[in-house]
Amino acid sequence: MRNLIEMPASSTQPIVVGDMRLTMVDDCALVSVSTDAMRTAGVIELLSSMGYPLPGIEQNTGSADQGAFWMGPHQWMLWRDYRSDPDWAAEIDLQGLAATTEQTDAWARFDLSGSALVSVMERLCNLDSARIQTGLATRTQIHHVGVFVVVVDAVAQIYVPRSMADSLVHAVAGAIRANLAVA
Amino acid sequence: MLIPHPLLGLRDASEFVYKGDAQLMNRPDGFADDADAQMVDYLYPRDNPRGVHKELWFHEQGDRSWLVVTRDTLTHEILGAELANPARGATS
Repeated sequence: MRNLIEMPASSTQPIVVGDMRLTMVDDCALVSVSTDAMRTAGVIELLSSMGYPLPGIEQNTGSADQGAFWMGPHQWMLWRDYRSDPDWAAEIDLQGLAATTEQTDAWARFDLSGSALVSVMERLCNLDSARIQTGLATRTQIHHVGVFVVVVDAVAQIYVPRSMADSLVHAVAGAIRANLAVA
Repeated sequence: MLIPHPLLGLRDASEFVYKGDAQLMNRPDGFADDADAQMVDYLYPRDNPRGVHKELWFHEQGDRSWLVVTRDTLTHEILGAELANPARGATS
């Protein structure tokens, strides 16, 4: 077998303009958790006892190095540092209460921060700008691509399908420049 | 146009896909004796009301909930929206 070459989802970042900064986070492990109305309470209790408290509707429970965010009714995504435990997804045993799926390679995560975060985000997507603050987790679209926007400590984590990573960087770079033009 | 999502608040209509009359949820029993006639009635004739209409919208670029949206076809005013499956609302 030929040696595999590790390639980034996007090689066109970071984007730094003034104090606005967009960087790819390539060591983020992701696991989705999906269940139904009957089993939701049990899943919340079990994951909480495992150290992963699940957030409410349109919310996230993120900290600096791990967290969970709401994706939709009865669906969440868990994230943490990938390199510390590459087999993390396989170790989450929910005892048949929910389906867990490793999503690490499905998404690329970009962190957007800076004083003009809300102005830039409102140029990118149609979220109510008043809601773009720490604690938010929601799905919307940026340049026709479905993305998750998760705000942790005033940093917007944008999860985009990995194959669309460069498109997201292009969109965000344009929005940062557009915002600068009117600032 | 904004749709008042019962879980997420006002969301832009561009995130949603329109499916059709909310009556589409009431699919007839395919094993009934008059299943053919019921299916024809279910699939083809459509009411086209001038005024208040209940219709199905899918939040495709959002949380992927199905909503029943009440809309006035004369004014396009949206009078309300609820989850198509109320059990989905018992969530966190």
